[in-house]
Amino acid sequence: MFKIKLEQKERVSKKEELIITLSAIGIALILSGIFIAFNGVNPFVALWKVITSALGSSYGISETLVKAIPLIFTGLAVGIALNSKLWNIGAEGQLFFGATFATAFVIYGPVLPKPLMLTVLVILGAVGGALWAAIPALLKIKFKMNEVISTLLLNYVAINIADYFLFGPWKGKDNFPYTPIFPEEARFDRIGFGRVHTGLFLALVLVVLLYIMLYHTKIGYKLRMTGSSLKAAKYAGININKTMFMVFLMSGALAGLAGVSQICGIEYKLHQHISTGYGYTGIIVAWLARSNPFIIVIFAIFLSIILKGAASLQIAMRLPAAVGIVMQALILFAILGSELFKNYNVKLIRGK
Amino acid sequence: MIDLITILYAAIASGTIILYATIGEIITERSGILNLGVEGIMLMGAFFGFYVAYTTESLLLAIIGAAIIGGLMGLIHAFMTITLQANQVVSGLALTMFGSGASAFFGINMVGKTLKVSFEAIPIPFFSKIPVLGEVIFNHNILVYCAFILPLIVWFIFNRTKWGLALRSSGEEPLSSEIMGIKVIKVRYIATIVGGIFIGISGAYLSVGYSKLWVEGMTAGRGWITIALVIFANWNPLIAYGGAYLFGGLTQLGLNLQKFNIAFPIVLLKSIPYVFTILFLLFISLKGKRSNLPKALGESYFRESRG
Repeated sequence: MFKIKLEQKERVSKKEELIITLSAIGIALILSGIFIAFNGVNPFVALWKVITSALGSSYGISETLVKAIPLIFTGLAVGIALNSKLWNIGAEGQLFFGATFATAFVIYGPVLPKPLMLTVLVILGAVGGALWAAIPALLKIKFKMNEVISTLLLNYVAINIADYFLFGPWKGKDNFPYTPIFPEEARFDRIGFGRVHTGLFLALVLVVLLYIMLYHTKIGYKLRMTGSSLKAAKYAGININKTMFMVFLMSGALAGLAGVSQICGIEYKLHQHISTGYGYTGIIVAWLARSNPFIIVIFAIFLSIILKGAASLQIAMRLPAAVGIVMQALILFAILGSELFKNYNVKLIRGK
Repeated sequence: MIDLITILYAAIASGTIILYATIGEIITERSGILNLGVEGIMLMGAFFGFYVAYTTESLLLAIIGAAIIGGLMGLIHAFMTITLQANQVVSGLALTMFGSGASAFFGINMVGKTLKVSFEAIPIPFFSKIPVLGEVIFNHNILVYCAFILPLIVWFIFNRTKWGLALRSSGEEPLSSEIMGIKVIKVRYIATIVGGIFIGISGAYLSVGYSKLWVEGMTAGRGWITIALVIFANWNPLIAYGGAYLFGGLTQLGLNLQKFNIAFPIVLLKSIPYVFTILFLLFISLKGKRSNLPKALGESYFRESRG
């Protein structure tokens, strides 16, 4: 019988940390390979396919970026809440609610000149997401309800609400659950690189703004203080309930923008598959990036490589679509498990 | 008119799914480990149970298989959070993601398959003849009957045995427990694995015993509802009965609203379970009593910090 002995490290160098993270990703890829081999596909060929399909051509790179855009939004959404130690597992639902909100304007509202129209849709998407996040926020502040459970359960409700419109008043002429195609005025322009659209710039501007807000303003100080210690925050005279509420609203708004960027940037309509779990993948992105907005961009791109690669595996090698979810979970497990090795020297000793 | 007997019968049949999982999660949480991976474990149990039932045509093996896969999932969570001291929330989310992904990955060939074997209702002699009560309670399959007894056994172990004491004190005061000679790490490992076993069985009951088919993501949030019901039950296995069957009943009643010709869209009726769960939690919060919340729930336990 072996026992594990831990010795606290005095200092962890950036290089050491990077090596540990990269080894963890390596282990996750090996485990993914085992899964793929179960389906009778050569894992080395499959993993090579993941990399080449996502990064091996300009088409691949553009499609990877297309998937990174919503992930930056949802990563920021989860990340800003995590900064205050709040878990927003509801980005998926807020994404759908924001998208439904914006779609309502496209369907019932006037067609405005493009810049005005897009501004309205972006604002409505953010407001929709924020409204949906306000429910768990109030439940947490007024009734101390655990936000992990409430945000998650509300995902199902938000998706059912979107379904209500898609199968009801907004269904297509052929009775399929999707809205009519959006007019040109309601579409983000493409930037001339595949399907990559100007939503990317909106995402990147928000990355910079959130970074400045978090680390260089008084509000950001309050947010981070609430996250590091509730006691200290109270002592410093911070209104914790107000701060938490604000954080939830911002978080929901960012997730709502992911919805708008999908319907106005890629799909040009609302349907059931505007998100392939971007709200959930955003949790991984934010956690891996330690909620730092700039690092969120890096991990959003990293995970979009996995998503794009997995989508290609599905088509080229007939692997089930779920292979992408399995790979994400394995990466999360591996990096989560590697945390220990960053802070401690781990030794196996012979125990009794 | 709504048929009350049918609704009550369905309430017990569907409440059983959540009852198994709730008991499992109560066992795990009482030891101080928060397992948010219930949804993923349930899906793995549902898939694997169905797979075994389909290939071996043995119901017993199906349940054993689901129990083993559930126990293994619990073991992963235990290893991550106890040995590697990972954040329990993140590990649970990873487990949910892994379970929903892996069950869909392997289960793709089981979609649309029908089973040749099924759990038949076994009317209990004499008792099943009691008007109303007999029909509602004493005419179910064996898994439902087992679920009648399970919370009683778990309650007895919690409150009347040395094991139960070790389990509860590990969740309350791990440091003092260790001094008193309780092997906290071992207790938590066992509790997380045993919890996983029951959650796995709940999945197999869902796919093999209840809906008799396998569909990707078929738990539809029941794992998360379970986590809420543990809070509702105040970590007490006996209140879990009430929580699970009440929840099953309210959901069935909601679904039966269609028969009243109330102009309420069916897609929104599907939201009833989730809204009810939130209302359950609200009710608990207003009552303000959560006396059994394990004090050390969700916190990593560093044996080294004992010095």
